Amino acid sequence: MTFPRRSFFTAGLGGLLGYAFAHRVNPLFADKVPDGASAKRCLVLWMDGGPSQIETFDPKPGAATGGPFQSVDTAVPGVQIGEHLPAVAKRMDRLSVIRSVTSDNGAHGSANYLLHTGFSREGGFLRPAAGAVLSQEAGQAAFPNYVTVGAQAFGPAYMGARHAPFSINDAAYALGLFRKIERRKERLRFMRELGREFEKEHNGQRLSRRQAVVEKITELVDTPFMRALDVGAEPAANQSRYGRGDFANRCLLARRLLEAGVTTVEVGLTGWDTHTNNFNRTKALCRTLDQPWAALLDDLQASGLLDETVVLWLGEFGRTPEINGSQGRDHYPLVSNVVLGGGGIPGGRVIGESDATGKRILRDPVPIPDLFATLFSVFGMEPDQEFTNAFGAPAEVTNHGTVLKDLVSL
Amino acid sequence: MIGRWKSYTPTVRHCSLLLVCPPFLVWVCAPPAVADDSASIDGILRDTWQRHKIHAAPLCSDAEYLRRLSLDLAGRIPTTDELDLFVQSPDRAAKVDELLHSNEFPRFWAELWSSVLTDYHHSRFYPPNRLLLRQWLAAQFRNNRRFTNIAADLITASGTVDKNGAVSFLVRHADRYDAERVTVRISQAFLGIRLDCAVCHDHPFDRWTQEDFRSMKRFFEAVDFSGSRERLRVRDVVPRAASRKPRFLSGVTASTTQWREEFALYATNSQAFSRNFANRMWYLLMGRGIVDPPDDFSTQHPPAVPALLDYLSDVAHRNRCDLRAMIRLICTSDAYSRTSRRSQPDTKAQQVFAYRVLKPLTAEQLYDSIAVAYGTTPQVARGDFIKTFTVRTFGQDYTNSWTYRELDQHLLDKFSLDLPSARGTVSELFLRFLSRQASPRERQLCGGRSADEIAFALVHSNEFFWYH
Repeated sequence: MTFPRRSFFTAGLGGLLGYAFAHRVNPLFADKVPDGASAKRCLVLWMDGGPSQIETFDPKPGAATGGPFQSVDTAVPGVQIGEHLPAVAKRMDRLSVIRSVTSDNGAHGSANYLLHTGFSREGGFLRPAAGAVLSQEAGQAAFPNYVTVGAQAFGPAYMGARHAPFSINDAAYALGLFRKIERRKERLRFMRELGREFEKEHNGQRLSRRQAVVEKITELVDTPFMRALDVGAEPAANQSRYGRGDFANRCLLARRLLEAGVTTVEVGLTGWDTHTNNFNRTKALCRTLDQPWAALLDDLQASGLLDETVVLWLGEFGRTPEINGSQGRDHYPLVSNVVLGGGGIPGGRVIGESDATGKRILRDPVPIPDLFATLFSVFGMEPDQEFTNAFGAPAEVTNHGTVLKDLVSL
Repeated sequence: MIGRWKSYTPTVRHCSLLLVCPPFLVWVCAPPAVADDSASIDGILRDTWQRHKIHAAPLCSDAEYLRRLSLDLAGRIPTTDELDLFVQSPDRAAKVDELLHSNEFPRFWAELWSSVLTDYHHSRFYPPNRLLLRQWLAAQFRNNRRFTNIAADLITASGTVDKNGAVSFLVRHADRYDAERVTVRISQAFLGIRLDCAVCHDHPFDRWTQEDFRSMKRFFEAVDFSGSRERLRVRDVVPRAASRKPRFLSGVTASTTQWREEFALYATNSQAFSRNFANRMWYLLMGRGIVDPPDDFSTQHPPAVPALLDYLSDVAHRNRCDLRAMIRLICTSDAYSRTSRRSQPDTKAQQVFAYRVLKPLTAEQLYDSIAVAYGTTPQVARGDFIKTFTVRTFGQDYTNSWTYRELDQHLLDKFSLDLPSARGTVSELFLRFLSRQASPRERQLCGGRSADEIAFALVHSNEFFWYH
């Protein structure tokens, strides 16, 4: 299956100055698209604060640094993960783990930026979040193509405001807004009718972008996107499979949004910054994470969406193998875990390995740009694909990343 | 700190520093006085249009002028009373002066400038004290302090964030303080020079090199933050024997240990400073810079009307960036009064200011204008309203006030706002919301509709949201 090339937009964004014009410099990549690039959507599970790799996907039971938890067998023979992710363990045949992601960035803000954009932050020159890149790739859409649910939203930078994340903290609130707009639909129509003279007198000037957004919003009402927000309409049986709580509801919402056609949905789970009381807290977090994630994988598989939806689990960085005096673990960007699956990425693989203490990477270190190159590759993009940045200069989509063939090749 | 710069005159030591600066950045002597009358905003523009065979748009009506001016100087649309009075005796110069001496002017301009200086960034660790910064700026504008002195105070401010409003400009960058970002920001805001590129490599289009940048950012490397979140203190800890001294873009290096003071002196006396001030004032009032974007003086963005930029920066240099004088000069010109109506967009004509550029209302202007139109404030608090439409605009740079920034979500939020209930006839509503009479077509469309429906349509219309 090949990824459909989308048409580039060029008009109607004059008011945004340089920021609006993100267009591909070289459109001749169609014949370089890797075989098997089948991803069209992306689900990001963002573990805010930096999830401990040892309590999740790289357990070290018995090691001095390993903490009190055991590991469990997974659906993949020979692969074990932390004992508090039992439901995910049963589904590891659909997911692959990279145990050797590494960077030198151990500060929340800048690592957050790095793991969302694939670039270190440099001066005032902002890079787009992966979600904005994928939104741009997906092309024109009647609804937001990049939605964050309870996660910190990163900007579209030179991709332009059209690809800014639509951030939802509370689906019910967002739905309420749409319902209100729905009730005011007639008023909005009247508003546009009444404004026609002014618009005619200022034809083609800066207001055209606003007109486009107004139109888009009125058309969003009563669409699959709006209906996806109505999580309450989900059958009770489904709700109970995801479990209770904000994160479960957000995962359910994410599934509904993906089904409605949104390209990238990012769901946040906060609380992973476990400098103190790491074990009790990661145990609780894993339990919060496990059931909804498993339900998501099941649902996406049942609907066939998993074949075209990359599921990506990550956070800012890993945590120190050494346990500090407060039973906590501190920031450890040298060894982090990232989990990927779906979208044509084979499951059940393990890339890289850390030593017995978890302090060092033994083989196949994966720098952040490679992670992004790999992600984009399954969407049919090359790591050196170029866009035009706010300064009019070409900007490559990854920071010289290379695709992890071991992860994506069939 | 405030008092120290109040009667700012360079000391003998400072003057000797000035003399070693190459003339490209510093006027050592006063520039030649402008002699003939053709050197005026309208004279220069007329010449330009003639040369390019461009037909300028006609002037706007008195009512349109008042709406424009009120939004620019008071941050809100005019009331119907103000409209009546002005249309009866449309003395534009007098109105400019009246507004410049109102309480609304310093308050609104302080808000406008505080968003340029600190944007709406929210830091959990070291929040700038925006309220105090705004109060400080408002005091400067009320007393018409010269912009050179205001900028120098902001650059050199020391003290604690709860006492000195001016330090918040630097405190904005206290979270993981980085001399780089501050240098980029200051160059952008006060010199109109974008150094972002030079952070990592030589500027692709301009003569700034990475070495220029590294040497200049050293001026801010001695800045030190200490104390608690609420009482954060800003001071300088200059190493006694700095191995490499800071160097300004003009080539002059620091000769004392008061690095920021030296930087401020070089910066505010530079030609770049007055040019940037002139261009930014033009941008703020006209909606488009002579150099546009206004923070990017570079070979890539030459001035659209070089003579106009020369003339205005000359004026700015001579009066040491007198804000009110510059506003008076621009707002009483015909250039300021041209209509924005043009059914066929013409980029060239707009670049040389032959017709008016549309400006989107800032969140502050929008809230205050809604309050004027309805005669009462919306149910949502002003601060929350502003936050809704600014904070969520990710990673945005507010240096350029008239960038259009509405996202889908902003419009969703706006259209679902709970508005006060409206009263009045169609005529009254049009006057209150749009400062004009309804056309026959509009009257017909409004027939049979409630005042609330009409008010909703007017307050969300493009005509309300853009000032024209």
